[in-house]
Amino acid sequence: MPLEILLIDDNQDATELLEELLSMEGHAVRTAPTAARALALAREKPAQIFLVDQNLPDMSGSDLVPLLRESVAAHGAGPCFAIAITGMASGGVQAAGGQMGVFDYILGKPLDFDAFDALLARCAAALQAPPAP
Amino acid sequence: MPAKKSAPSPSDRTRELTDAGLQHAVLMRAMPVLRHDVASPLSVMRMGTMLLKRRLGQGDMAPEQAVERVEQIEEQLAEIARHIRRLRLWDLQINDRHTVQELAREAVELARPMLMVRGTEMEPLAEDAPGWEGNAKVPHSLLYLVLAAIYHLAEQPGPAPARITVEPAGALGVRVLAQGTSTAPQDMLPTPEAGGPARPPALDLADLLQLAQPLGVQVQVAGPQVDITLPP
Repeated sequence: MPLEILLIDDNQDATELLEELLSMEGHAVRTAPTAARALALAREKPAQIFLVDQNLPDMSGSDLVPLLRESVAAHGAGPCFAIAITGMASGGVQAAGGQMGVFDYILGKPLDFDAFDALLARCAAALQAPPAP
Repeated sequence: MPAKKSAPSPSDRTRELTDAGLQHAVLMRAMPVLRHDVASPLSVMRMGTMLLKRRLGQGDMAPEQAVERVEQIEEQLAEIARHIRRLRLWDLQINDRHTVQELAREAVELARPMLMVRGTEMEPLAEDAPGWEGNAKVPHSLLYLVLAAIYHLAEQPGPAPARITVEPAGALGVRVLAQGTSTAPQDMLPTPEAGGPARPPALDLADLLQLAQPLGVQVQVAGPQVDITLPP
């Protein structure tokens, strides 16, 4: 299932490569180098997946995520997933907790593509599932 | 005939272990940033190789595009090499000497990201920051003391400081100064991972004095200010 993805990272090389990789898999990807730009894009059109670098130049990723979720709700759009990409954490996919609790998942750098692909597939399946009665 | 080295006395051994423990306490705090600085370019490299593999596998990549990607990977490799060289500063078997300015700048680079997460601002030190004597070199372990001074001020009980600055105090001295009160909510403090070790204990004045001893430098703490004075 192609996903609407908003990738938010100020590292231009990482953004460019990840955008191309995700686009090759058929996903619709938009990118933003700052929190302000991400919010503008999200308010324009909601996304289903937010891939967020925790260390953004104008705001921390964990402060940005609640605002992104609000923008999705304002559109009356369905659920969304917020995934942190951070070099401060290690390993593959982790459940978010503590200060990072605003995220649904945390991906450590360097990115493990098998874990990343599996996580996107899991998110896609959850987005396709009918809402609970 | 080389001089025979006598075995360390029990008190020397205890002191060495205490020093090692304190250096480890400083390293524990810097480690997430050191890891991040290596992991980020490695992540870009991994994405670059993955992209090359997939594009070339599909046969839809022109040679010049492939070369561009390989050059991008080489740049990241150079960045990783630079960060690995920085790890020499944590090797006590190496006796490198650096200028005070270089070590102060490194301390700021290592402390800054985590402090920012906790709501404390810290400006990077410019390469040509004035005030320090340009050529005088000191042992690289001064880095641990400057970092310990930063963490000591950042981790005081109560609200975090709004900002911490590192500046010259005389030609060879370093002043670390905390100012204001952060408006960031207290729950911004990262919580230790579940099942993992608790946050390391705060570094106090006695720890700073202990770290200063092998360097032969003086440390003075007055409220939100730590002055590190090197011998002339």
